[in-house]
Amino acid sequence: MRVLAALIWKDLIIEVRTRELLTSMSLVAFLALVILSLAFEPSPAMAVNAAPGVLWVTVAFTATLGLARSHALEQERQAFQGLLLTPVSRSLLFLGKFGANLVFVLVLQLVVVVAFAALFTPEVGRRALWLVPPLALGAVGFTAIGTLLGTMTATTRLREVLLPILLLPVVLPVIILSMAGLNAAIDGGAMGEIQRSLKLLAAVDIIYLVLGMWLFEYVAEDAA
Amino acid sequence: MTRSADGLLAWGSLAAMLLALYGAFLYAQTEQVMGDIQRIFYVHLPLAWVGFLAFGHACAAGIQYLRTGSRRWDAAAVSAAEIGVLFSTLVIITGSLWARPVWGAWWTWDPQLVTYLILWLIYVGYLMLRAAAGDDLRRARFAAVFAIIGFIDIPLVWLSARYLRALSPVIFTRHSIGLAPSMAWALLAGLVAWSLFYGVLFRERFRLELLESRVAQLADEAD
Repeated sequence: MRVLAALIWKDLIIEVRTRELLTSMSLVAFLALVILSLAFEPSPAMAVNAAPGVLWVTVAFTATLGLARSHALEQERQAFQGLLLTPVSRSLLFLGKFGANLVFVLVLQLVVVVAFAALFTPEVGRRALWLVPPLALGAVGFTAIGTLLGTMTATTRLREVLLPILLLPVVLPVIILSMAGLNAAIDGGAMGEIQRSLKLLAAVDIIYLVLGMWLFEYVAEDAA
Repeated sequence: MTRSADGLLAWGSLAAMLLALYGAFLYAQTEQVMGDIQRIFYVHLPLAWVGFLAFGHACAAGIQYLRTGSRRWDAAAVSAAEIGVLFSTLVIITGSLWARPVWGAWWTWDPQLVTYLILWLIYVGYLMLRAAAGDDLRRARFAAVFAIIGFIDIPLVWLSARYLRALSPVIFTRHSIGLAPSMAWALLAGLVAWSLFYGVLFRERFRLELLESRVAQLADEAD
């Protein structure tokens, strides 16, 4: 547990000192929302309907950029090779990177929701607490696969371009289920509807995490 | 498998394909509502099945590669995945050709269609990953890992696509078509023919992959 905390702490402290990743991700997300807002000039009613889709399109593409950057950082001065040399199991290394990435994605989601409420409709802001479970559970599954694929693509020739091509189709279930949960939450719909999507989402998250921990072992050596 | 067995497979596939064409165009009776358009199903459905099995094949070969580290499994995986992409491209094209006159649209967001499209996208990504991965060992490992994720993901995609459909009204439902015996036979012939054809393509592609890596090895030695 202490090892895991240290691994996550390492990435967070880098981020606190440089503030590169979150600043750039937030700016890209804000720009995307500004463009979408200009394109639609949405009425409040339309904005509420479009919210789940707009939120996830913005988060998915921006987070992909951030994940690619986060893993590119590991390549500098063979940082990742150093990590591999430490006596820490591969699945713990995966969880460490996953934990740090998850923090980044969650902060990004917060920024996106706030910006959305400001640019599109304050209605979403009022139901903000209801948005937390579907968004957070969505972030878990997205980041689990994103961490595994990000580790792989960071050493390939196409890098940042390849990650979205591989990641987005694979994490589609998480995005769809999270959007369904958001829809129900924003509509103020029945609890049962929200719960049903969240349960499925949690199940998919677990599958993705297990897959990540299992397969990371095989890609770690080659990703150094 | 020896070359003569491969030859036998090729001739068997040719015979089965001719039989399947006869079944699809002449033997099967014309469907009453859709007419001759329905005959594309004798190609579409077998292709969909064999395409899906090809991806399963790639995933299984990927698992075997990670277990054993033998290059032959990697060669099998890439061969299966390439043919899978080819077949599923044809599935999407033949499906659209059928859907246009029958449903009035080239494409709908029916869960089956979504799943197949995502399946196709994932394995196109697989081929891109292979092209970009760099050296041989890394390529084989990364590809195996991605083939496994991709295939395990398919039921999840289907599940979530169905979930989404349940929320909004379903415009088109694929009502089950009662198959007349002649139609069922034509379909079966198609399944056999396309499966055999897959076998032929796979053997050829597999041999090509092995020869390529042999050439690369010899070139390395010559340097």
